[in-house]
Amino acid sequence: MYIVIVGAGKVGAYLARDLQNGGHEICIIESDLNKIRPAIDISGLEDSAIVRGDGSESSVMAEAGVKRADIFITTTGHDEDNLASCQLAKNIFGVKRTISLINDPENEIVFNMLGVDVAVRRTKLLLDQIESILDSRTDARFFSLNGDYEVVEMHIPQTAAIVGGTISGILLPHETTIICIIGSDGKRKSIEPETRIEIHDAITALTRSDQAEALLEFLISEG
Amino acid sequence: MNILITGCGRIGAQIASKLMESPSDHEIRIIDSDPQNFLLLPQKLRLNDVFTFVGDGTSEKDLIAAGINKADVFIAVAVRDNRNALSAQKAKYIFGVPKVVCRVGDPVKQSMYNTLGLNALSPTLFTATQILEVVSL
Repeated sequence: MYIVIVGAGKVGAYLARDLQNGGHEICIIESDLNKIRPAIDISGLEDSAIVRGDGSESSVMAEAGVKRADIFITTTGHDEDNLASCQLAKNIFGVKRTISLINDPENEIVFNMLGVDVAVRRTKLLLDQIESILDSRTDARFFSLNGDYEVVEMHIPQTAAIVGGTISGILLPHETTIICIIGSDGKRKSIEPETRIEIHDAITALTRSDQAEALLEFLISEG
Repeated sequence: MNILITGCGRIGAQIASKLMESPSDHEIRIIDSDPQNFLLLPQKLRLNDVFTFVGDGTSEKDLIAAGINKADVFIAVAVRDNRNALSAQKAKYIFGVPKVVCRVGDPVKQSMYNTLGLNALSPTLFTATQILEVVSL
């Protein structure tokens, strides 16, 4: 896929590196010339894959080939610039998917209303990470989705009461679905009522944000 | 009418002064993050702290404090296009202000925001057109 990223700061540069390693064609737009060298060093992009200019200016976006982009991602520290870029990408260049970093959590609603498909809150990411570090009993990770949902991913500890039981015996909280279970052999288990939960199984589940704690308690509870 | 203006540059200050002079009884308030910019206003307005409000015109908290919930008209005329567009879109879609006008220099953005339902005006296009008219005389 062709992915255009606005902003060659740390987020943009590491994102570019990972996406390029994943086999995608990447272009970064950056107006601060001082950021370009470090971004090339981090991302390993060719100099020609960096367009110098204002990523919320339609002429610069045209130069970066935004018209043929499959995904458009804005990562600057200014929400108003991120929003304007995404709106241009969507409305003028017809990009199907736009993703933006949000610096001020207040802007999440307006971003979702105005044509940004996925709005990623910087503070929320940090909080999620801190939350999982703080809960020392598990290695659980939380990913917030739009609306009131979260994906929880964790390994079943040795001491958990549900070890040895089957999926049919699990009483999941309201609006919670198990998405997948990976066994300790690294193979995916099928989600059937009779599938057994074993030590170190990696469980990924979708749940309501207000149920995430309850789900976690249930999965690690020592009974 | 209750009118809220963000950006006290030359355009914002000019609009505010003209509205104050007009015979109809408008309630006007102008927001700028830099109080220094209020020096562009006539003295009697500048010293009136009901009239000026120091704050960020893209911040919902500041817009509420400045009284956006009572506004009939919202005019975003700060220097930067993207900030104007964000303020104006919040005014329209979050606070439901009936009439929203927004200054956008880039003609491409101007036409996009008009399509998206804002009243976007471009001084760039206006000035360029005027200059071309003068030259062709």
